Amino acid sequence: MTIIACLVCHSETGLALKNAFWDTLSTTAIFGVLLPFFILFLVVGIFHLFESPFPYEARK
Amino acid sequence: MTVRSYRHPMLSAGLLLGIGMGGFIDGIVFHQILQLHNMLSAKYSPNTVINIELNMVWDGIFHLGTWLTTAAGISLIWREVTRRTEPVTTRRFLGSIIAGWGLFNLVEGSIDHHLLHVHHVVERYGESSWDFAFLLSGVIFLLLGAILMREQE
Repeated sequence: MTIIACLVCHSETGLALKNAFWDTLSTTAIFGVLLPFFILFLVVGIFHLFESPFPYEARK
Repeated sequence: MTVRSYRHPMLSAGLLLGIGMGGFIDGIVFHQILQLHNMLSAKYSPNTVINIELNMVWDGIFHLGTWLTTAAGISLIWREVTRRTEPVTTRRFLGSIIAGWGLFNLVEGSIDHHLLHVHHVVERYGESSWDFAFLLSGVIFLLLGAILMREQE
């Protein structure tokens, strides 16, 4: 993701990145925000799809 | 690969709500009220207007993530309300929310505080025991949530 962002920005602006937002986007910020949520959604998704380790007594 | 039966939608919903609300607590209490750190405060120290604005943008994107996670949890609850496939107890649902909060602290703390160093819990101390306390709170919440979730009716 960082590499793609870098390539896009550099190809559009020459060598220098245009502004601070794109600069941070192409460095660690996007990973700092997206990576934790990606992993958290992955964990909950796995928990959601597969049988939970937390059993319950079904009401009849 | 066989996907096994869909058994615990309310616990998944609780986990998502816990992650989202845990993120909101981080953002509202640590970022805004106490101003201990911002999303990128270790990289862009908020001591100039430009850096404050930049951190504010990324704080907003972080809050967008917590909002989407909370919305996903609410949508799962609503789906379960209409289907009623799983018996729910307050204790187990509360447990899933607390476990979700613990998951948030553990994952966000590991990645942002220790792996990427985009910010630290108390920015003026850098990587400090507060960061490890944050991780420890994640482990404690996760264990507490798991204990509550395991409890039989």
